[in-house]
Amino acid sequence: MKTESLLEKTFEKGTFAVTAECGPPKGSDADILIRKGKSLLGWVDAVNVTDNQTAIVRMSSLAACSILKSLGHEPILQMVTRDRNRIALQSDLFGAYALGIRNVLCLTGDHQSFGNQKEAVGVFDLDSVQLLRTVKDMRDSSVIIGGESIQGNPKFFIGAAENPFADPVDWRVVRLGKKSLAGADFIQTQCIYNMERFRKFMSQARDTGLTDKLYIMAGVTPMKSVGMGRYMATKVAGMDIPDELINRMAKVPKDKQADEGIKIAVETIEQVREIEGVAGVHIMAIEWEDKVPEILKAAGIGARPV
Amino acid sequence: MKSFENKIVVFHCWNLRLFPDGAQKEFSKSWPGLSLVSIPCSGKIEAHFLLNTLASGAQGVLVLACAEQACQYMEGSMRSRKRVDFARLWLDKLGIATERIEFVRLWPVCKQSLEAVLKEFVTKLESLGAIGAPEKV
Amino acid sequence: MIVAELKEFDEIREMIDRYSSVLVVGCDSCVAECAAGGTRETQLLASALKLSYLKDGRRKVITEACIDRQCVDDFIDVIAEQVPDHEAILSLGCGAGVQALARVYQDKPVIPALNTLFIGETVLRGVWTENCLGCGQCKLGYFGAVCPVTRCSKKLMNGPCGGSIGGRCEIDPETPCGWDLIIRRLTAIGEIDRLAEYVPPVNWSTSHSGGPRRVIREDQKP
Repeated sequence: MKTESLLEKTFEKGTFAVTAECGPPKGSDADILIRKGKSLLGWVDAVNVTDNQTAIVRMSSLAACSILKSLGHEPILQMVTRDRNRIALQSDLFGAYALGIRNVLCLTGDHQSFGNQKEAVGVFDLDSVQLLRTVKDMRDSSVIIGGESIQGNPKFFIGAAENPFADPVDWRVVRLGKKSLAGADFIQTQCIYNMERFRKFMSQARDTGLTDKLYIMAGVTPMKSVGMGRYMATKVAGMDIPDELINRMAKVPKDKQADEGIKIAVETIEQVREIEGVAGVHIMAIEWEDKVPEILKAAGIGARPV
Repeated sequence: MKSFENKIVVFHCWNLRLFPDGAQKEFSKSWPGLSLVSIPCSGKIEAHFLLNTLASGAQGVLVLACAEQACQYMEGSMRSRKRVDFARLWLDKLGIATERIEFVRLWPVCKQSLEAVLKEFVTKLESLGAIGAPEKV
Repeated sequence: MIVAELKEFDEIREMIDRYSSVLVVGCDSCVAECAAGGTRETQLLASALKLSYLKDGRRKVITEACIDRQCVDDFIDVIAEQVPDHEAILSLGCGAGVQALARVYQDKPVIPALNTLFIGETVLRGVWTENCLGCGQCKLGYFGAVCPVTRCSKKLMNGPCGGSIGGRCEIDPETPCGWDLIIRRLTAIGEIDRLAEYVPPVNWSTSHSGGPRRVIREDQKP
């Protein structure tokens, strides 16, 4: 064990791990977050707290992590390099660890032009790979960027994201390797709808030995409606939703589409579980966190901790 | 025509040979408000010539170009069309009637059609009034 | 070259309305190449201003002039005789040109007529693209001569983000993905192996983050 992370412990035990995304509210109402957090309690090994996802201003990930931790969750601090420079990022890493947060997911973040602050400066002082290395160097070498030593090194369990569906396709596994080399311990993938392409990605990851170095968690997002599916397929960057799935949703009457979306998510979990090298699932039920227990139950994954 | 004396400028390609009989003087007498400017190709026109002509007191500018197929320089008359369009965009931006700049293609040596074009243009300009005076709607 | 574009006409007019005489000064270098502030565009803007004031029945002296390079003192002198006859200068130079004029003609207001955009190239007539941010430490040699700092919307140094689809950037389908270009180019020249290496954080202190920059060459001084 490199860290005190409960997520790492779950992986080490060889348990199929479950994480879920919990988006902080757009405002200071902690009750919204607490309600979401409670609905996930006892069903996940760790909870991802998004960092102003899609560049929309929300409660800070760090504050929300701390609140969720007080509820008994094991939070994963998502950190994007879009909004903060290396001074702010490193400072927040220190603070997060001091507050008892043991997991961090290093991301570049969606471009600010997607969000509700389109006129903002995009910082991008570091990229996600450089942030991974920064967190690793803090943990393993007790230094910050530039090599100065620190008092009390944060021992984070380090995560990264990877999109098996983005282009150029052959580059995705190279980038996965780069993230592993830079410091990633675990990976959470983009939402999987194109199973064929995901299988190919995993086989490339196995061939390059990356499944031995990284815990790869398969990303799953239930579709609430055919409209959401179409929106994601056409408007969300890096999404790959095959027409068959959209058509399958479209064939179902409107009031049954949510159920169908959940059914697809359950099938996806069952399928990825069978793929060698997949160490867990990461469920991103966007503004639908309360459905996570139902999905997990249906997929035959029981309550936590195991 | 009184209010428009010397107030219309016509840029025309000299390949149109508007006055092969040398009757330009005669013609000008019957159109006292007109200045004819002969240029080697209508494609030599620039948007700022057109705007500057209006800024210098003309009430309207007419660009006479050769028919596309008849252009001696292949695409000269296509270029002049684009520049006239660009100048008109500017008029629009300035809140000035775009009809004050007119573009017409003619076949060479065709005085009758020239007269028809001019008559129509003058009527249009008279209905607009002078630049700077409140424009008639 | 520096690429710029003309400001909205109304904004320009609003800024010069208070002066009774304006010298409209173009620049025949970069901004002429990008058809924003050369002789032709200067004459166009001056004509449009004259026409606009004529329409409003207002008297205003508008004179046009053009300088070969607005950012070099020796060239700026060309308008020295005209400047005193005007209350203000309207510059069609880039931001550097505007500031150079203001430094030379210290008692004159200098108004920008352009928005200065970027360092770029003319890819075809009427199309200009950005490809240099002037970061102060060129790494093009490692990236197949495609700049990740400029051509990637997120300045990524370690490969494409997850939003690139079909060689297009996630922020705009009209924008090519810089990393797609880098990968193609390195593949074409047989140097794709370069990309497996970890690229450490960029030293931005040589860019504008280090404050306004200057270059001093003793051998070039008079």
